[in-house]
Amino acid sequence: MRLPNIVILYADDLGYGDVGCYNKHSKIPTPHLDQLARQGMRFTDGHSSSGICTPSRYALLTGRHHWRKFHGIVQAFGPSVFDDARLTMPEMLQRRGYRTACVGKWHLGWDWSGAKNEGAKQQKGKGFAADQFDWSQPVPDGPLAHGFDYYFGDDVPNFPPYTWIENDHVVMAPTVPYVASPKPPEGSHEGRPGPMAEGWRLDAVMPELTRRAVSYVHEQKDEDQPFFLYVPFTSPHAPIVPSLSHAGRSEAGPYGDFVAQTDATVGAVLQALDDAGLADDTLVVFTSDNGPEHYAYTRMRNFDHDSPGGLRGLKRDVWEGGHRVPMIVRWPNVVDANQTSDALVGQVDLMATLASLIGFELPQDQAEDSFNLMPLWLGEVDRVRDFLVHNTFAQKWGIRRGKWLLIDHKDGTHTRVPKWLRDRYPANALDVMLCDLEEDLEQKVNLAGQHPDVVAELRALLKDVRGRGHSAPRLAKESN
Amino acid sequence: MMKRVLCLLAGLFLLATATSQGEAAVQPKQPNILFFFADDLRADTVGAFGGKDVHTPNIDALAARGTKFTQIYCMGSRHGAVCAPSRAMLMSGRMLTHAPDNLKGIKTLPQYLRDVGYETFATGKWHNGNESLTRSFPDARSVFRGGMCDHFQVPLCDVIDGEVVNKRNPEGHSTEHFADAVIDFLKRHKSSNTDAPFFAYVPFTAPHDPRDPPQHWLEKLKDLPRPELPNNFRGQHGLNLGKMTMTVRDENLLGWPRDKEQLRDQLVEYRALVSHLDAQVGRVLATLADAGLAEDTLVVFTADHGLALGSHGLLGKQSLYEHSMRSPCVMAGPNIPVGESRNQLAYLFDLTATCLQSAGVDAGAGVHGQSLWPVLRGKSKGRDELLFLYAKTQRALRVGDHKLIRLPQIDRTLLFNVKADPDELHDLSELPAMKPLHDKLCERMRILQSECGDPLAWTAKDQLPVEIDLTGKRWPADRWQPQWIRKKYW
Repeated sequence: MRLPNIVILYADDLGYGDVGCYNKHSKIPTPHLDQLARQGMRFTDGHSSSGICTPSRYALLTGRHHWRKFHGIVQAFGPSVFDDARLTMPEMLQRRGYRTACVGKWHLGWDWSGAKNEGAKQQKGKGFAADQFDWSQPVPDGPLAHGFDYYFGDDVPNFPPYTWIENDHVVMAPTVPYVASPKPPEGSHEGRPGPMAEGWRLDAVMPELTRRAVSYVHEQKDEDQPFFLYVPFTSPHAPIVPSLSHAGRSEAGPYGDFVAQTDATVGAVLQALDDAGLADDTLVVFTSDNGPEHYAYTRMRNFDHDSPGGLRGLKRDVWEGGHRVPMIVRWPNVVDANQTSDALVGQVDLMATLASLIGFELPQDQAEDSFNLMPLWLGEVDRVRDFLVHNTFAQKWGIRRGKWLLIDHKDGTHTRVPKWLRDRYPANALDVMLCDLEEDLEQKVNLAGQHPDVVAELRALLKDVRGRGHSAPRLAKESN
Repeated sequence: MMKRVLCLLAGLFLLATATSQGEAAVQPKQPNILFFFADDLRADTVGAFGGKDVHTPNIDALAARGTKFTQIYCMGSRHGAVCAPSRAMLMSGRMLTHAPDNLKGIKTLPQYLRDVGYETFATGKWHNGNESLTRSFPDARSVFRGGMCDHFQVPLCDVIDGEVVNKRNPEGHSTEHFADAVIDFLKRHKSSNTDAPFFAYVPFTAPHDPRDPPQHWLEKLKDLPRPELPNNFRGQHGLNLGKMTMTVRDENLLGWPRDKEQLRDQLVEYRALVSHLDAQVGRVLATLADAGLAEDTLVVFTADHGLALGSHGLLGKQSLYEHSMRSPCVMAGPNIPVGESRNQLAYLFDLTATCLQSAGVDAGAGVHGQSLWPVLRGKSKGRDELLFLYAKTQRALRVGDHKLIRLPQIDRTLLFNVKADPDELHDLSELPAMKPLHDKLCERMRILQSECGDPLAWTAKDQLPVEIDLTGKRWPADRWQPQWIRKKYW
């Protein structure tokens, strides 16, 4: 058996409880993800590195926690988060002969300086004007500079420029300022002002990305070398713009429909693998970059649909709802079907896992926080890592060890909790929160007062992990 | 090293017997044991074991009132006649390396059982020599001594008071002769009003080829869909497993590359042979019930091993793939859970230890098998690992869901996940991700080989070409094949 193809499907702001196989009360049909779980291994304790977009993607693609470098997202026209020396997952795979492609939301920065006219300035409330750029210029330091042989996408669905980028070129020159079209049926359009290609439709993004991902798969049919396809969706991130063909498919409003569409995209890519005869030779990983957006609270009331799936908190929060995400792995003939694992795992672990998969020896100064999950996938062990740091912004940190979750702050909240929900959670008088996730997955009860020893240990562990620059077991010797 | 293994095995057995003594009180008395042993019966050709378009109502009904074992295996063979060592292991309860085919000097299951008051009886195929036959079953009827026969010209004899008598070549099908003999025994046992429990051993020589069922069974099943080829059907094996596999007699029932339609014809005939066997098992079980003995009788139905039937381009059982080493296995009767299934790893010779425990026998270190009673009671994870040996050409190690196959003659190692890939088509050995597991299993295999006294070198001195193409090779018919089969296939 040759090295398998690798497909990573990465949803955007998809909640733990949005997927049927994670929430039997979900109001959203997700037949393809449910089937994917039946065909592979479903993780119930999987985490993104951050509660927001760019940092989670950075950790996924490098095996290094974002917080060793930064906390925020890349802003519109912002620079790359990757240093040149930083080994990325596609670069590693390229070295073993993989052909690599990214189709979808990049959001890890580019170098726009060559395309931006000298002296171009953002106007308050309007952003850049379309004519402040020479759109025919290449845009370097994007996906092609960091390991991808091919890129197609719109960079960020709610940021300018609103257009397609293929490889390092803008496909359609933006000529007009952004207007949301269509007006999203739920939530705010969230689009930041700036240049837009004329006629740009927000609801055309996911169908086009789906089509491109599917055709990329078909093009691989007779290739000798394996491929790596990274498909970061722009859904169900706001603007919430489900296609007409998905409208009304869920009982959770337009967002639910957008999730159903996300599931259909997963289905389309999997179908393409089947049709191309590649499914048996392809490892598929599905996960999400962070928890659901703040509209989830309204949705609980309006549709009785629980996007965080019983977890506390949403996107941005250090609570479980911010970073505990669906995670499914399918590798036919290698990873047993129909398995559920409750092992603590992080997206940051995929780097070392894939390194193990392809027999790549990771350098000492790369993938510093990545644990090899392969023995877990193969069923040889049922646990790989004992601890994991949770962090979005610089002020609030969480650390998990076994059943204990410590938030080194009076709470893990960043996203505003509506009044009607606030009473659900007792006020915390301490400057620290300690929860037993086995008994209290919703993180309601603070046990910090009862277990000062655990608090002290976890604080020390957090300090140690943050301080020593790495946490991967293969680097442990170095610190001793 | 050997001593260590024996100590270990003895220790395990002490554990098993400790349990058995503890549980003795639960069992009201020694059960009768009716032990069916089919020949070359591939597990997935039986309905209860996932067979598609098959007709095995009696075995299926037995499974419904008992417990199925879905991962029970023959440990292998020193040579191409795999049924002989499989039966030697079953009769002795010992592992392959300690169970010679002729069972010389080894006390057998029926001997142990007679010691504790059992009446023993056998009919059917005995492939382990005369001395062990007359010693094991001084009372046996319609015994076929040998490895295979024309089912309609089976040479039979009886054993009476330890003497082989009444040699004959009767008309009729072998499976029916054996069923008749055990039915007759059950009736005699019933009418004798004895208090002694019985052990009746019924090893059929079906569905071993010639694939020659009574013609009316082909008629009966003609409305079933034509059997599909196995998922892992291949025209040829490709990788060279050596003469002891590639061109052994079982492989000569069709030419190379395997013709799909001819093979499907053979599957039709095999299926009828299995259904006919099932019907005979049904007759015996009906007799058992009519005699009022069913409640007190532990019924075991299993087979000596499986059969390739076109999987991996092979036809026989001279390989260590699942299709060839795994047996269907059902236990039903007193204290056996009803309608359950166990997927714990087991060897067929664990059934020997199971029967011994049922009878309250402590065989000590002489028996290597582990009683399946703890598994039946849901109190044991069963064996962690299984070693398989075939001739001097193949070794395999099963640990968890993974199976390593070592081919010393071509210096190749294969690695399968038999749960994710039950067809064993996706060799994982070359995947870098599997290297730690691969190396671990290789090391473990060597240790187990050494512990059980298997001297085979990891890599053979004389290497064979890795691949072999048998296209156009001659495939002579043997003398057992009846005329119509010769005409049809040769």
